[in-house]
Amino acid sequence: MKSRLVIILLGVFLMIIALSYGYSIFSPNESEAQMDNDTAQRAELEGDKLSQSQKRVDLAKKTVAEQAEVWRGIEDQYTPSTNLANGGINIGENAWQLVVDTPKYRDSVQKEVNDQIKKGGVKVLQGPFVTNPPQSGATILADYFNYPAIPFPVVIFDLGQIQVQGNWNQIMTNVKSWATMPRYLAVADGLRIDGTSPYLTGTYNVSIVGYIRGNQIYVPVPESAAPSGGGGGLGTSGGGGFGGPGMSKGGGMGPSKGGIGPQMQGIGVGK
Amino acid sequence: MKLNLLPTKVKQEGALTGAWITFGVLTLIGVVVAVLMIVKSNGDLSDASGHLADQMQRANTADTTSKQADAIMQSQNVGLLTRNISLANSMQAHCSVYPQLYNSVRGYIPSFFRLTSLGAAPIDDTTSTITMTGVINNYQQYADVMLALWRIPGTISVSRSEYQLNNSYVPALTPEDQTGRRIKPGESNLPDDPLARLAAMQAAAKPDSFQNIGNFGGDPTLTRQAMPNATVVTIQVTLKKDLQTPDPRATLSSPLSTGTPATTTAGGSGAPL
Repeated sequence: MKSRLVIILLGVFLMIIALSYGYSIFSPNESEAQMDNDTAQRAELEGDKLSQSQKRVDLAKKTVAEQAEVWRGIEDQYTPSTNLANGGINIGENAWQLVVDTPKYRDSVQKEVNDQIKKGGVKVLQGPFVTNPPQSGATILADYFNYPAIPFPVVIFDLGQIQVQGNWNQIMTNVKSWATMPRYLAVADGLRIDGTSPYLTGTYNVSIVGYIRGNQIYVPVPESAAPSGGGGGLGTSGGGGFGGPGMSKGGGMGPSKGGIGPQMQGIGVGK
Repeated sequence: MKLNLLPTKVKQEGALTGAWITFGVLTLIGVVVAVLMIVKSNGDLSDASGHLADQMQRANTADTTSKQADAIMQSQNVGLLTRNISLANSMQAHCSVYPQLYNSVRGYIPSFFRLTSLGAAPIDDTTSTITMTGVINNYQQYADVMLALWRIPGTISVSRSEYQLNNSYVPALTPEDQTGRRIKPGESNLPDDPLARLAAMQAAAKPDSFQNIGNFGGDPTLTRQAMPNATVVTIQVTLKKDLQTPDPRATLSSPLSTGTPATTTAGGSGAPL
């Protein structure tokens, strides 16, 4: 009787062992499956946002295109041309030529400022002077065109104080007209009115910004004589010929494509 | 009577056989159920993993696409583009800020307050100060002009200075003046005796030629200052107005962290941008 009970109990134990083993596999698997399902559910929610994401990409592209179009409008009206004869500047010239061209460009800017400052029919009491460019091909880009301190060449003239005389409407028109100055972006600030009408005096400050168009730029050129025995220098030993340190990067007389290119293209300034 | 001649172990063996059968059945049930659990859980796990992999791929695609949009908007070229447009717009908009402010304020300046100078300067990005210098004729107007300027929308405070009180007043009595007739600051009491009073009035300084006071009657291009008996006063109105100027150099030189142009509170004539 006892041995029968032992055998049955042995069967029960084996069944429990088998079930325990099975459960030990079953339980973690089911938990992991549940976790996977939960994660999959969350992932599904994220995945359902694919169309939204695609819309975001489309919106981003559309926004960029719209911004680029806006910039092109600004560029057309408020940036100087690349033609020196038309009052612009070709930044793609070599730096020695740029030193020759920039004073002519500066005169064009001065003429445009002189035209602008008379808008509204005022009399100019104190006109601004557009600063002269440096005469060094090594520094003209940095000092006058603010490159590479700013990622693209741009002229910034803080013209300082301007004084004009006229009646109220003439002065107001004069100040507001800086917003539409051709080929440049200008900001008039700090207007003060003095005097007795109709001989009022308007005093204010102006800064103008000219985004320079172009998609290539020369590296700086050497202006001082190379030390004796050193490489480079015009017609001396070493690099020989045009092997000066400034030109070597660009390779002979070819322009350097680095730096300005991608950014200028990207912001729509490049032509 | 029946007699059981079988040995007792035969009965025990029969009972043991049933026990062994029960043992086998129980063991088989345990093994079968365990196998079923393993097979089912493996199947579930496999299905879930497959489903998860599919959904993760979709989620990753959505995430990658979303990041692509961010990358487009956060690229340096777009940053430069946005900043340049923002700078251009703010520069052009600012050219009208001062004229618009002055034109809007002009309607609140009373006619008796004749301005000789009008200026404004920012305090911070929300408030600015308008400084008016002008001529008023009497002490009452000095009070009235304050009330008038408080009507300017957005006014936070109005302050005034420099009025020189010149009204006539009743003096204390003296032996010669037992009446106390009104006199102006700096004048002596007028005697009661008519002859003495006439002599005193004749002796008082009075203009006998063109005085050119306050540039009246002279060069029309010069600013008309205060008339005789009038006073030049300065009034400052602090109001809610952003007059800060876009600073092109600072904006273009700064790292690409924001599309908002840098501004300066310098403002005012003579102050550099």
